[in-house]
Amino acid sequence: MTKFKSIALIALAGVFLQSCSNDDDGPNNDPEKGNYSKGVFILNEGGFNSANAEITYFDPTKDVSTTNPIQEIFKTANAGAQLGSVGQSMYFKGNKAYIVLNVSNKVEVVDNTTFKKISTIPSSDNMSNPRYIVSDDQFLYISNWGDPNVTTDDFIAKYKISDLTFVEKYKVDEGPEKMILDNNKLYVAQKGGWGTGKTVTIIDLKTNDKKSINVGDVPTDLTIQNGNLFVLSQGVNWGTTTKGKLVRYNLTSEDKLEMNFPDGQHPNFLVAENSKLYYIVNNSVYSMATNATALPTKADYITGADSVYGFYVKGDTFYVLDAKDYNSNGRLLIQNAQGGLKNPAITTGVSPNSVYIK
Amino acid sequence: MKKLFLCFNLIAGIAFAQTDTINLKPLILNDAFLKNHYKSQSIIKLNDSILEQNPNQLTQVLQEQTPIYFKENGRGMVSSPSFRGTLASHTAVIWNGINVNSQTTGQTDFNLFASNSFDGILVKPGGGSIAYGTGSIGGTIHLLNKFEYDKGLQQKINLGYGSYDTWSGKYQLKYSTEKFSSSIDYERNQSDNDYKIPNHMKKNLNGKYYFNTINGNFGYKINPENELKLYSMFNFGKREFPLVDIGSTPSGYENQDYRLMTEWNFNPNEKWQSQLKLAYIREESSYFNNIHKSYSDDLQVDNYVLKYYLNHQLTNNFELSFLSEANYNQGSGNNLNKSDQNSINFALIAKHKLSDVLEYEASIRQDFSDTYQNPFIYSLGFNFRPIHSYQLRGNVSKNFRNPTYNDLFWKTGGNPDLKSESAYQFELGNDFINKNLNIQTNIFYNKLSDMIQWIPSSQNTSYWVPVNINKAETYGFEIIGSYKWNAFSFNTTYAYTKTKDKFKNKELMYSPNHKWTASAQYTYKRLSAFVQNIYTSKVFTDSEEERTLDGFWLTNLGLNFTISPLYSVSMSVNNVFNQEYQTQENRWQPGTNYNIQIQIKF
Repeated sequence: MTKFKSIALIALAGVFLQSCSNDDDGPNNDPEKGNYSKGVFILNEGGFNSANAEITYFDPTKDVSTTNPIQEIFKTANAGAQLGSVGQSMYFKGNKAYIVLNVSNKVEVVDNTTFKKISTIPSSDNMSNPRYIVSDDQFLYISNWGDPNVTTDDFIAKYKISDLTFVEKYKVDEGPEKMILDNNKLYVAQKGGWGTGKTVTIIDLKTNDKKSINVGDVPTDLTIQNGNLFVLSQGVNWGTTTKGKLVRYNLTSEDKLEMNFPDGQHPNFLVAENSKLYYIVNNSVYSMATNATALPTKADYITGADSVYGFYVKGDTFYVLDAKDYNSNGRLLIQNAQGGLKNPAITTGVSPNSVYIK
Repeated sequence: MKKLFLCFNLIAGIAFAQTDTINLKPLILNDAFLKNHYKSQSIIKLNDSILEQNPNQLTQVLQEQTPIYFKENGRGMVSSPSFRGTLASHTAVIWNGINVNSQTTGQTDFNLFASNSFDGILVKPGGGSIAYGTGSIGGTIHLLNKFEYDKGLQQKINLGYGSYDTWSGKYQLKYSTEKFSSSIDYERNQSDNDYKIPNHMKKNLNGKYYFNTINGNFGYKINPENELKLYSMFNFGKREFPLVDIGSTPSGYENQDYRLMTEWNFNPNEKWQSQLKLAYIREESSYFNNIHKSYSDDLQVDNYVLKYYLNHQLTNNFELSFLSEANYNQGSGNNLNKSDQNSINFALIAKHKLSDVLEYEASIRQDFSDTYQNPFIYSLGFNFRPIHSYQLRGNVSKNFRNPTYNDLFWKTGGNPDLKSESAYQFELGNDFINKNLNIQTNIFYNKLSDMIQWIPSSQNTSYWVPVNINKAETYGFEIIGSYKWNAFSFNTTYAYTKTKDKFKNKELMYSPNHKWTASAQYTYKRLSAFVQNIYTSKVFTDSEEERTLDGFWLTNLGLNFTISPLYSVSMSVNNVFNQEYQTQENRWQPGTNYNIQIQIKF
């Protein structure tokens, strides 16, 4: 079919040839033509009052140049439209990408290759201060803080993937942040919004049963590895400070192991990869085996970032996002396990906070 | 004309015009320091007719008439200045002699004051910390009221209506006898402010505002040597904050600010002058994260000021002055630890006339505070006027800015170990003074150190702390000109400003290299017309010179018709060429808009 169409097109005027054949090459990566089928995507939060959230694309198979990375791919794909205010997170599912815009109170749904807008889940009582998304085959689950001054209106909103209609809300503790969906159970880290959260809530999506586990102050990240739930809690870092913690919770035995960070160390950005857990403290990368029972005392390496604002590990490649002063364009550092740069630093938009590899 | 060019070539300097001193005098009486000192720096004068042409909040008239750049979050919204390239907290606003910058932010939001609350505004570029303390670095803006005696009863009503359902109203009652002076007025400005903006939102959403001001000023001349004054200004207003996107949560802001001051002028003879001021200022604000909910973040600061000025003419050509100010303030709020501060300062000023054409002024000041370290500051200036039509001025000074309540006591991050910022500066000016034409030119240099900057905490990026970390310099030149010929008048200002963040070696954000203003007015019989122009070059909106806002040129036109001595009508068209422009990233300003005003006196 493709071949036939191509032949037919060649028979037509040559002017259209290139663009049309590129359309046919859809699955192939051609970022300069707006086809981003493979590569590194960086979500830039943008300034709080500036509505300049955007996405940066980088092709790691090519050298850094004036056309690599490509900035503002949403704007380019959508005739100059603004993405919105404060890009919180992005979620890829099927052939779509879902971009959570926290201050705009919306989720933009785009094609995961062209980044052309398909639909929007707009601001409503069911979309209020949205943070993160997870999904199963049928539904999206979106964590929402609601009014940050109200401690009792926080929820997880469930939307149908097929037509983006709202299904129901699960009430949770204050400030639900990142989530995991595993075996029909939703694990929600409750950071605490503007206050201090202390719990992870486990919601059984079949029975709607809920259970809370105490995990230390300000839990932000979580992962499940070999039947253990790991939760990284930052601890309170101002006023009366409390210790950061890495908590290992066995889902079968319900045994809990709490590993405390030294005073003044407030960890962030937990990533599980290579049977290891990685995280950041004071702009340095730390790692430990998933079966270890004590925290490492020495950093793997110092990232060299002014202010790490996002972190990801895939295989032997480390992606460190540097927000610098949170006002100028940030940068992505792609490093090896010793911190050596694999490429020159890659310029991003303002306050890059997460990286996605496709 | 040849002479004028000569003057320009000499140094890109400036000239100060003494011609309007008669007009100035009743205003500057409220501020003995301003009256007697501070002469080696230039001045921009906005009289009551300019203020009446712009019956809005203060930002607009200053944007139109001065080299100061204002960064505005949309029309009527939070507005912060950059004067000579400095930061928002480096411009001090002086209300009849005392510094009224916010204790919580260290700056003035220029949309919280109504321009027609005052009888005149004087703008002094350059440092003024000797008399006005914290924040007097880029320049000082003096809001002044006039006390008239023996004028009987006067009443005045101004009513205005304009685009976007914008209303302005003022009622003023003045009554004075030989010994007693009083003036009471009430102003209100309000707008739906739903102007068109050139992005997907189409309109400025959630941008309504209203501002109310009540002024009451009373003077009493006990005898030729003694005069008592009472000033009061009460501002209360409410603003919605425009949305950044259609679905964003609508936020808003309310403020209530009270300012009350008594003044005792005692001038026993030609050789002694003294002025004592006692003031109470309360600032109160509430920020609503969601205007449909009752929860707000509140801040309150009570500030008590005692200021004393004493001047003695020792010999015919030597004057010595003593200036002291004591401050006690107390602040609290949901996000502010309850706290108080005590400070006191002493200054000495010597003025020496070396000859008929040359004089200098030397000043020193030391502050003492129970919360932070203060620098010792000084100022040295001279005026050399060899001929009537030419003057050379020069000034070297050290000025400062104190850490604010937010810097010191903010619950998450406030740093009680901060010290004051320092600013060293130098300027040289040439004035060309003529009956019709006055030109002031300045070259200036500013070096700022220990600048307080909020940076992400070293331990965790989720909260920020203020640190005395940055250094910057700003330099450039200014031209301030006015020309008057019969019924025609012309005013212009131009500033060329370069700034440099010393760490990044880049320009500071929101500071244009060029700003030019020009306005002309012509009166023919009962009709007068004016035109105002503003040109601002591009500004960077980030610290790495990566993102910019385009420069813009605005033109306003106005027409005033005096029906009778008691009635007049005026009309104005703002942004005649419908420029799309912003002074703050993603905050559009209105296109062409109209305003009509009537004034009735009785």
